[in-house]
Amino acid sequence: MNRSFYILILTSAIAFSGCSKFLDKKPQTEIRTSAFWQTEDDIKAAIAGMYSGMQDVCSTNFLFWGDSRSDNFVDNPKYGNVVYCTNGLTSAINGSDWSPLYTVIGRANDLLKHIPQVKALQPGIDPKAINYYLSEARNVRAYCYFQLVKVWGDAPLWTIPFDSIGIDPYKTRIPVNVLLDSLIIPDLLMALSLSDPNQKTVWEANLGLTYAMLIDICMWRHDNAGAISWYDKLVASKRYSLEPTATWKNLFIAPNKTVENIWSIYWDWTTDGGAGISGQIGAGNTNSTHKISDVIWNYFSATANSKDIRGAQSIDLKVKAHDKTLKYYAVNLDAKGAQIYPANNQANVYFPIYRFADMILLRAEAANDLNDRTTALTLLNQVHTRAGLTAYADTTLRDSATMGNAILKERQYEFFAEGRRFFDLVRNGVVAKVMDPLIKIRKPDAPGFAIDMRTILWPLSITVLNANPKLVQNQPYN
Amino acid sequence: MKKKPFPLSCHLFILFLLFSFIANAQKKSLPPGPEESHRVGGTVQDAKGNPLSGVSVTVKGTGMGTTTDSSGRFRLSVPGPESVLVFSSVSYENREEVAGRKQKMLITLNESGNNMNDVIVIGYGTAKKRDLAGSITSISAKQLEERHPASLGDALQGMAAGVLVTTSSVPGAQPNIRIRGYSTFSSAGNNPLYVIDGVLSDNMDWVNPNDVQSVEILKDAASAAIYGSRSANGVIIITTKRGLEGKPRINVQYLHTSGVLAHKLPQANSKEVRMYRQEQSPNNPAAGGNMDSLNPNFNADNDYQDVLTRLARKNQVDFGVSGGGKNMNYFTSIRALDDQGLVLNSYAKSLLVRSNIEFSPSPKFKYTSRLQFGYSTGNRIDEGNTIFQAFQRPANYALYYPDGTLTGYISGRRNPLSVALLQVNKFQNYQGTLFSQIEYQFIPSLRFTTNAVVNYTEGRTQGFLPKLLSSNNPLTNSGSEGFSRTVNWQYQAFFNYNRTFGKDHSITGLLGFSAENTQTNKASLADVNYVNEEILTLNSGTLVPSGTTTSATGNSLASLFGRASYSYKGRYIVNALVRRDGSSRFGANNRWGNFVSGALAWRFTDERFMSWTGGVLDDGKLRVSVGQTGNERIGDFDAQSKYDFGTFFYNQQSGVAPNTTIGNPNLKWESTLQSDVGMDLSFFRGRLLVVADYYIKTTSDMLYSRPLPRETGYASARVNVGTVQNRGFELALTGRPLVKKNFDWLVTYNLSIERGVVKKLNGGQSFISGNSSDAGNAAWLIREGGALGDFYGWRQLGVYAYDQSNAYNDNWERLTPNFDKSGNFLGYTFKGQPYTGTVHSVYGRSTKLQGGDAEFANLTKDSVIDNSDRTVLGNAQPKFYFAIMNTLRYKQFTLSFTFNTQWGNKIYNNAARVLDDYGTSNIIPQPYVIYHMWRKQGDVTDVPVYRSSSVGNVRVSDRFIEDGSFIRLAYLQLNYTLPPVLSRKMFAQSVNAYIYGSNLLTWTNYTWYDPEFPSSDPLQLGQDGGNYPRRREIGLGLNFYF
Repeated sequence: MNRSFYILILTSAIAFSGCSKFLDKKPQTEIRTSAFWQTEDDIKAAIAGMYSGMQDVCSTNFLFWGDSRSDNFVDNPKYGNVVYCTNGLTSAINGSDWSPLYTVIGRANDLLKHIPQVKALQPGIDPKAINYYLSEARNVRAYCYFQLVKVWGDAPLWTIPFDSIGIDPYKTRIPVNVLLDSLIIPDLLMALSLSDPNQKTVWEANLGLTYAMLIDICMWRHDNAGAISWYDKLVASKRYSLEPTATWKNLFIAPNKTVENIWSIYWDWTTDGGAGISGQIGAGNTNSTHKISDVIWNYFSATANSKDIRGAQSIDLKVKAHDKTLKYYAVNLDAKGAQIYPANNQANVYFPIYRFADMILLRAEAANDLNDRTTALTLLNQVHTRAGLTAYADTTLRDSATMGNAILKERQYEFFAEGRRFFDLVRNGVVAKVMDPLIKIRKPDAPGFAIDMRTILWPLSITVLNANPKLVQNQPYN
Repeated sequence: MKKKPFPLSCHLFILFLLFSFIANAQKKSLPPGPEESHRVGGTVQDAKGNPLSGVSVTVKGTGMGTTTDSSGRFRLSVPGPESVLVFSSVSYENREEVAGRKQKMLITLNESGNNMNDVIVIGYGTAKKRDLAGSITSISAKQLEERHPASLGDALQGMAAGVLVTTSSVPGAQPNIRIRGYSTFSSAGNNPLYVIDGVLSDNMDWVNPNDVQSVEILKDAASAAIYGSRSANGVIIITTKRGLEGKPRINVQYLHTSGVLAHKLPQANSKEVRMYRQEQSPNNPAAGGNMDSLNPNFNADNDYQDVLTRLARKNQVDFGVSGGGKNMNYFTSIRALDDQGLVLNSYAKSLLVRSNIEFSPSPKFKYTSRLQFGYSTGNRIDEGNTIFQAFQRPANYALYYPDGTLTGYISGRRNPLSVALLQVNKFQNYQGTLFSQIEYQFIPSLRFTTNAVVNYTEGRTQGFLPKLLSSNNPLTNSGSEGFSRTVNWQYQAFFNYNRTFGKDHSITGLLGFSAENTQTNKASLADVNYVNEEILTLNSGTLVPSGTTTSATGNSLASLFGRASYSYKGRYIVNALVRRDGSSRFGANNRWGNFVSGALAWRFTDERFMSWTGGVLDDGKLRVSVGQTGNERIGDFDAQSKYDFGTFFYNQQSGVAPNTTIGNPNLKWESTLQSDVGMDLSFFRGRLLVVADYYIKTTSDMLYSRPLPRETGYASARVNVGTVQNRGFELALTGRPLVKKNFDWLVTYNLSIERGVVKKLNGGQSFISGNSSDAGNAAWLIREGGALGDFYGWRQLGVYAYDQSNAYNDNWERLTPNFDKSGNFLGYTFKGQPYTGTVHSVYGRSTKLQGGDAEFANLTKDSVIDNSDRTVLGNAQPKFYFAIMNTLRYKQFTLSFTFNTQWGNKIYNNAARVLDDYGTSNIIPQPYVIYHMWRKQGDVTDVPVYRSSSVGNVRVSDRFIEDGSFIRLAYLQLNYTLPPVLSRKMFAQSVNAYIYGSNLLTWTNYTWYDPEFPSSDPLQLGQDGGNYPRRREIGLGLNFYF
């Protein structure tokens, strides 16, 4: 008995000494933080992870932020929510959550922290490639912060990754101008110095995006001179030109084949799931939440405008419910000649973040602001005639206001459902002027914008507010 | 300590050897051997002289034993005349007798309601019920058998105070079991731990209820803490049967039941649909009428519940052989179950096989092998798209086209019949357990036990949606297949010490070690565009990468444990235990947790000064215990920061991104401190037993998924924060009001009262669980001082009768509008007095509310109904629950029945909400809503007007909160046992037949199918989303014992 007793004690003792190892388990279908960031492939994978986050940013928010509150869409009764088009946002509304943007910012911060470490580990990696990766991360980070600025105004600033639970996670909101001057613009300038001009893939945040954003930001701040100088550099880079009329549709269904798209978001439903925008504006298996507004419908369906090649290629004029936008889908007709829409879980949409026509019209806007109507007209007509329309004569757009309106309208039709319209109205200071009369028709007792211009900004989502007590809600929302 | 699991081949070899031993042993017993001189025999009878059959007769300290036959006789061989025989039978007191050389022993067993000498399993050992200081409920095989349950979990309902079993009506589904309330916020963290023949498990899905010898439920910390790590929610110990010495005993059992829909619900017929259509389009007099009288799609009037349900049938067959020789015993069983559910095409089938073998070549050594195999398959019907879709779909939509083929989608509503018949959602699960154990008795007081077990579970799921049910254009079919495998091994080794010094001092001790490891791998693949709809394998279609996932995870646990107890004459009992557990799930800094507990018991009736109670109170014991238990049920790698991949694709590159839960290297055990005061009383010589317990159970350092500021890019972190406390009172009464020769009556009553409170939250911050928007599914407020299950939303006061009814004074009190006979508005009065002050109105979603709009309690007293007007609307947990179980025996007849109750809980009837919220134009509300909706000025009703634009009339409100209290006649059985003379003619020891019924009567005010349904997430309790309907079941069964 004694012997077996001792053997047992001994075995247990041996067993226990191995216990710390026995209890050491590693994740099996994820990778531990410490095992990542070793090779260039890791960087490529993390870059893809960052862009994949951009897909989440765009999926439904692209429309919410840029179109839903404008005169492009109204709610589809029963399926949509009337508050978007009647200035009735609340902190519980879809689109008010900025988490997807910060997720991308976090991934960009992670890249910026670790790329130099990988470089140190792997001196053989082409420095040009390293610099290009860094420029992508900076471009994307700048884009996300600029979206935050446009949608919510002040926002917390994170420039390093939150990668340890020991870091204080609570930050307050930083004023817009500080964000622009101390982060967004420096990021873009840094990206400019790092970027590789030979990288031209439309799915990536390359040099073209840097220029486009600098133009956009200058125009947002009404810095016309700045915008013009960046526009000139963009033109000098000879990267882009207007896509011909015949292949206009390619801007949305094959951006990589165009000469115009600057940055589009790639989508493949088989790996990414369906793009959320399909359920908002046109999917085969569900009613859209958004209906095309009369402003758009009446313009495109008027026989006078039948020459405008954008109409039939943007909205489905055959659908009586006015709830199908086919801009993002290739022509695919059934036996009766009706467009076949993909199911919302099988929809591919290549979100056009920036394209050259946008830059041309921004430049026209700058010219008009500087009373240079000749330049403005030339630029406007480039886009206008590309749509199959007759060029404006300089006699019809004789003053700066008419010219400004024509540019704005052109932008509305050209960039319909491209997340531009609401920001165009804001930039030009005409939100209340354009929207309030429409809101009064849509919902007679809705207050509109003029009564409190602070409602141009979105409310912070309640989830976001609850998670960080240091955040203060945008007024007058509660 | 890298122990390999016991290889299967070795195990099978040992089994083979064992079977040869069995064969040999049986052969050997035929010729007279030296043991013949020690053969004994006799008869066992009860106090009234009736022979007792089925009494277990064992030789103390060995595995040898037999049972008495139907005339109470037994014979067996014993090692020597000094051997001690132990006679035991359920509901009789055990009796020990020295064997001697008697051939005609006459043993009389006393009935014992109190079972004080019953030996019960307490974890790594046994104890006499008499010596317990903790709160343990023991349930015998006999009690379970009366339920004829499809699963063991169902059979436990009402059996023990403090144990809430919520059964599900889905074929093959397991019930939800909660012991003493909810102690933490995660679903898994609230499940009890199961110990099946010493093997730790997360479930008891694979236990055949017929194999169970006893179930012990360890409720308080002092008992449960021996399983420290996962015992915070109690431990359910299941012991399966063993064979007894004697010739093979064969039993064959068959049960057939038929079930009907217990509660049919009203549904709008075609005429009512048309009424509703007219409300939807008031300006279109033709609305709801047949625009096209020849269109077959809209000319039906279906009773969907009749179409979709059928007579449910269940067939259950059991077969078992058990027996034993001198050195070994065996118990084998097979159960086959075929359960065809109420809803068409929903079914579950299972096969369970067990073989338990014990082999003891010497009195000191015992080898045990247990093999268990299970297979289950079935079709899990999609309730949302079948029985619940039936209510959503207008009754006038056709089920069939004129050519007899099934319809698919009509106006956006799928045909529930097609879904039931054609959608595939099948599963197949295989499970096997191989268990080996060696016990060695070093000296009479010291026993060593070591065992190893391997559990293997393999699962496969197959889903398919045919083209007919596709909402895509063009129609596409789609499907998926899933595979999973879990392998778990456990190793245990422990010493039991048990000795009595002198006559009065008895000491027991336990010291042991255990380790276990679990590995799970899963894969799931999705396919579209199958070339045909007959063969559903994945080579038939195109793989969809986004639906294709692989995951793998694993964890390990190591433990040391010890227990010591001391009893002085059974009058003063002290015990203490300690367990040290290490888990791979926690941060490297905090892997190990210590769990300590202690208990005291005092049998005060043994004191001289209590002698005056004699004759009334025979036995009284006071128990006090306090102890710590733990919880580690979180994600295997929640403590570690990691990068995910496989879901972040961009431009054909697979991406990597940080997991949204950040690691926490300091993560540690959640610990629950529980104190329990209890009293066990036995009156009138065991005729009335009372067990009462009061406990306080406090969980602190909860494993809490703390939300992180979204700006970090992360969603949450696992931290130890938060406190939840449960207090409760439990009362169990067992009485035998009548005990006569031919008639007796046994009644058991179990009552549980539970009160839970959330004491502390992260940063004191309340949060809303569930739906955070203002309409739709239920929402719950989790706040300090509140309870889990607090529904949160708006209180609906009524519906404005007139446009002018939306009028309030400065203090936001309702004004009364007055009208003349022709309906002209005259002005307001307040409390009968004319009101001339400012008239305020309330707005919902920035629209002024009018006649027909819902009036909500305006708690903030302002002009808008918004988020700040929400309040707690009721709680989803029952105030108390109880069961009354009766067994009446008259001669050969036994009638047993159980009433089951939950009281005071609220249910959010989301099934009705989906129908009644006017949210989707082609979903038809319930008839009540159609008839009672506000239609014109002056209508006084509780149903708001149909509005096409929403002003927030249908909020998450108490309109959909209903009382979930019920009393149910849950089980009833009338059993007839053939007189022994007759059964012997059938060459059987015993034959009985019975009529069985379940869910026969239910008294409740709840309006959907059934108020009893499991809700697993403790943060989202009591929402009925249209559960599978419950059946009322009647059956007939036959049992043969040969």
